[in-house]
Amino acid sequence: MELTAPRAHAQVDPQAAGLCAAVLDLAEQASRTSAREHAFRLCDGLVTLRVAGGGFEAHLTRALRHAADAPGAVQAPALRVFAVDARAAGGRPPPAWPFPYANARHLERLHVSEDRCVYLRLDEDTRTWHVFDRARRRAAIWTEDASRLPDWEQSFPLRTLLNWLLAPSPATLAHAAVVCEGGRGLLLAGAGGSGKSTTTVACLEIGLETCGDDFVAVTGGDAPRAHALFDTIKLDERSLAYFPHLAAHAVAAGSGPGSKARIHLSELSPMRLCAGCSLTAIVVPRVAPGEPTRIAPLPKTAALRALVPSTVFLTRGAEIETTAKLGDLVRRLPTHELCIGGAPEEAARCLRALLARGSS
Amino acid sequence: MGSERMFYKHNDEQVAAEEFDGEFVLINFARGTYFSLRHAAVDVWRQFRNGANPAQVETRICDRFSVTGDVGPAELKRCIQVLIDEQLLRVVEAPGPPVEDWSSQVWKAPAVEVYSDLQDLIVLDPVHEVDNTSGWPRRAAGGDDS
Repeated sequence: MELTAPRAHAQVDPQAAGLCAAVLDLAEQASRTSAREHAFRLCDGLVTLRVAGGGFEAHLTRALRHAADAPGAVQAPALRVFAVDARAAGGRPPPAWPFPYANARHLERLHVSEDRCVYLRLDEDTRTWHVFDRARRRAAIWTEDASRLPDWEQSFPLRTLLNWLLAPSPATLAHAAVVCEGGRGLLLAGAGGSGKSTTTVACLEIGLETCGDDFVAVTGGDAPRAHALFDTIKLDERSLAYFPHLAAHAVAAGSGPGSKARIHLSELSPMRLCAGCSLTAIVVPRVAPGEPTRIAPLPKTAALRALVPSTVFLTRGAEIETTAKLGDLVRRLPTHELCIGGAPEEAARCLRALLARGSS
Repeated sequence: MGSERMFYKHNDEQVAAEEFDGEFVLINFARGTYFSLRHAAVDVWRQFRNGANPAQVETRICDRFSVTGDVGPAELKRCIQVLIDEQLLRVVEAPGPPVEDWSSQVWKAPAVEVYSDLQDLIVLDPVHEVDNTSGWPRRAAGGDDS
């Protein structure tokens, strides 16, 4: 993980720095009760995690187990994270949110210091804090009761912190799936319901690999690459119907409209989860019943619209940086539309053929 | 539309712009909306890069493309109003130097597409203004909550 060197902590925003330090202290003290420090290698950097609260530990680590590294590795961590489930661990709550906000209807608060060193986020609904101190390379998650966190959060734990960590680096999160073969991959971009996950599973079924189904890290430049972050694939009821043999491995299917089950690929088929690959093209799936399944050229602006808005709206606090990095990626890579008119296997075969063709 | 004394420029704190093949894609982080600007809308957007008055932008573009009659200017007015209403532009105190960067040699009416399909993803407190002491979001002094 290429990260800029920590800067001297200019106190351009002392109120934010003080609040960040207070939440960090709370979390660090509480997590001392945990004997175990996890270490994960993510996007070529080391992230350590110490959690107070057993259930919360499973919540935060299950999707990252594929990236587990030996604690105490020689490499200095890019980030040390301390997490607390206050219901299990006890202790004082953080101070009240002190900053003004523009709309009381919104449930989440975000504050980023002008120097982009301190990030604070509060979810008022679940009383969950994320704080990040770039200069100290420390971050904390404090939640009032981890059992109240939505299940889907387990699909991409630490996503908020990773987004802030990567902001000044060449890498960024992307709301996209990646399918790959032989070290070469395609970035599948599109909002929920566009067919990314079903297509990804169909690709796995015919022997391809994946770096992730929902969020991956990408680096641009002359040789764009994707990096796996989470091992989860999210499938709705319709997608599970295509792959009934996966139902036994699905967790937390939920019952509401739009609810999705999670498949943890590192538990089901670890060899199909690829840590990283070079990217040869961006593909935007479109479900089009009745049309032939095919790959067609796509204007770059359409690829940008499929990739960037949903990424930045789901990963707040580094919007300008993320847009610039994903814009660069779109400029550099060929862009295609995958028109899905038939069974998912047809779409998978089209993608395998595109991979075999190279970047043309 | 802004009055003769109003000046606007790109709202860089909450809007990102990427240009591909003569089309701009704008993303308003605070509102959860994104936009496609083509043809003369690209020129309208560029003209506000350094800060400009709406009426002057309209005049400059009409002069540049020899637009006469009522239709072209009315389309430009509507385009500028969308940029203002969608908070893609923000008020500034003074204009900057004019921008000499044009999309083409021929007039094509401004085309603005507004996408709001991802607005539901926006649950965060919108970002408004930034200063060196309070970071963001910072409510403008005496500002409203809308």
